[in-house]
Amino acid sequence: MIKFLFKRIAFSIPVLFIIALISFILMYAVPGGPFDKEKKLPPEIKANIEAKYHLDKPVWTQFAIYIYSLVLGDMGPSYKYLGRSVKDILKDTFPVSLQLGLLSFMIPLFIGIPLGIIAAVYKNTFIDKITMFTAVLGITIPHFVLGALLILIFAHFLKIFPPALWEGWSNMILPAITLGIGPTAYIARLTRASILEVLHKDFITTAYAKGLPYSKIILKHVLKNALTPIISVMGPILAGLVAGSFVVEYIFSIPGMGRYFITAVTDRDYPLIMATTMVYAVLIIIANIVVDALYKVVDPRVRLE
Amino acid sequence: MSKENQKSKFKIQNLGKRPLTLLSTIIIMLLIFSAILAPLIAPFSYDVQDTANLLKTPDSTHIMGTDKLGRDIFSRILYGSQISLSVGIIATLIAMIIGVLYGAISGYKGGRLDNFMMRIVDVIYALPDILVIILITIIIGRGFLGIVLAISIVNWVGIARLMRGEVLKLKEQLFIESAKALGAGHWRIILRHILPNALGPLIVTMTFRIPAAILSESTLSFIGLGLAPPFSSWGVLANDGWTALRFYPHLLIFPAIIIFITVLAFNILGDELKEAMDPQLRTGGIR
Repeated sequence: MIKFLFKRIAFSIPVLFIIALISFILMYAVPGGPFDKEKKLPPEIKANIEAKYHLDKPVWTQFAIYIYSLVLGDMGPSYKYLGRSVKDILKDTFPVSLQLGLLSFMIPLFIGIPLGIIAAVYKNTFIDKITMFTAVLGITIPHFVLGALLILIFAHFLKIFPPALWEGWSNMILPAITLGIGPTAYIARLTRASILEVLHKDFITTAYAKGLPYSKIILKHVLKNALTPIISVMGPILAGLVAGSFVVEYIFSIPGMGRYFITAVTDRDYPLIMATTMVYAVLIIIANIVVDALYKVVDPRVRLE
Repeated sequence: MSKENQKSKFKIQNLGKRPLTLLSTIIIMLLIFSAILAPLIAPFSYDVQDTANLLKTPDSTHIMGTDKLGRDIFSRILYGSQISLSVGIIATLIAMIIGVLYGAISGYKGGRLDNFMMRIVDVIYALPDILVIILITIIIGRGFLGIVLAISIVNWVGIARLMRGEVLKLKEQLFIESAKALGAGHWRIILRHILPNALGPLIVTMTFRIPAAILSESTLSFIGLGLAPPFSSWGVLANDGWTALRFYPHLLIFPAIIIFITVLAFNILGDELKEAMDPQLRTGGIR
């Protein structure tokens, strides 16, 4: 297990390096610099600023400097929020995105899986059909449509929840639902399919033959074996929820990483864009490693290479 | 030949029994035709300003109301469908071409080249789509072409993976071997023998990719990083409506409904096609 983790982490370092290189080149290829404003700066001042941020050096030197300071834990200064380092900004915004991601992760976990079990148990009945149709709707509905709808209904008409910002629990409900509904629907479908597959296995027939009660068979024998495919998607889903909340953060004006990413793009705040991209990449890589390790825990037959 | 006959018969028979397939096909056809015929159907032009009726809620003249410049929302949605649908379809076609060729070469050649090519795919696959699309549009610009290219660059990797898998499965089969024995070249084998056999899964994927591409464009435009006026894609319209959500919800509701229906219709059709091609799935129904 330790060897496996070590190997996977070692392998992810070149991947991260390549992602850093590609995004750095992408940033560099953009016409116009971060300090080209409508109001022209005097050339000496512009040269001074560029010298300060190493923008006057060749691209490879810039990249080397960037990687060197990144390894030392310095993600550079923000071009837009003067006086604040990218690290400070991420320190403020990442926890918000993490909180939102974790909260919305609860919905597929505690609603998606049970719904899938119910649909599988009542296969081809009305309950199954209505659950699965709702799941299709849930997978399909775009974030901004659902988010706007929820704001309209619950914030503007019913006035139960606030429409924006991130100050307390009441602020978190609507964005968490908006973000979590897609994965919930997806997990429900996956759980149903996975359970139905296990139900056909021989050992389930054996369990029936032994005279075990139905509920016990489902909860103990079936669920345990149906869990593997569900776990394999849970990791990427969690990473996606934490990393993929741009739109939801934008809609609900949540001061998270995603919203800062969007404004960083419009502001051409390259160090901030680079840093957020890297954080997302790291998150997704970690999620994948954790999933593979969890596989082993759930199913001892799985061999880790 | 007889097998193919069976296949097509199977599908047509199914169409009657499967109302969802029929319904989603009709909706998609309606959307496409109304996009093509937009200039004929639309009661107003997309830029005509009815200054006497600003921000009107739906009534008999403006069935979906008007925006802050007095433009008819229904007409703008119709014209917008030209852009939204063509972004979805063109981006998917480009992605299909790149993905199929890339996957075919990777799977067919195998070995080190395959390994190398797939690692590139892994890296692109590892990042959230919308992030990569945004990064690419920073460089190539946010015009129609820029958005289409950015979406295709993200989407081809999934198709390449699928195609590679199909090639790996097919290339060991006997009919490929006999084609080789008859002296067929590599490209002939890939294009004439492997591709037709991989078409089923590719078509299913395409049905899922088109709505995903439409959604990517709308989402980008919605958060203000995609197309901007004078383009009137559904996402641009939704973005317009978003700013006035509180007092004029109809500005957002109608574009939102259209986007939702479109994406839903394509997804249902995809599910149905997938089931039709693989009856085993009928017990399951994983995406």
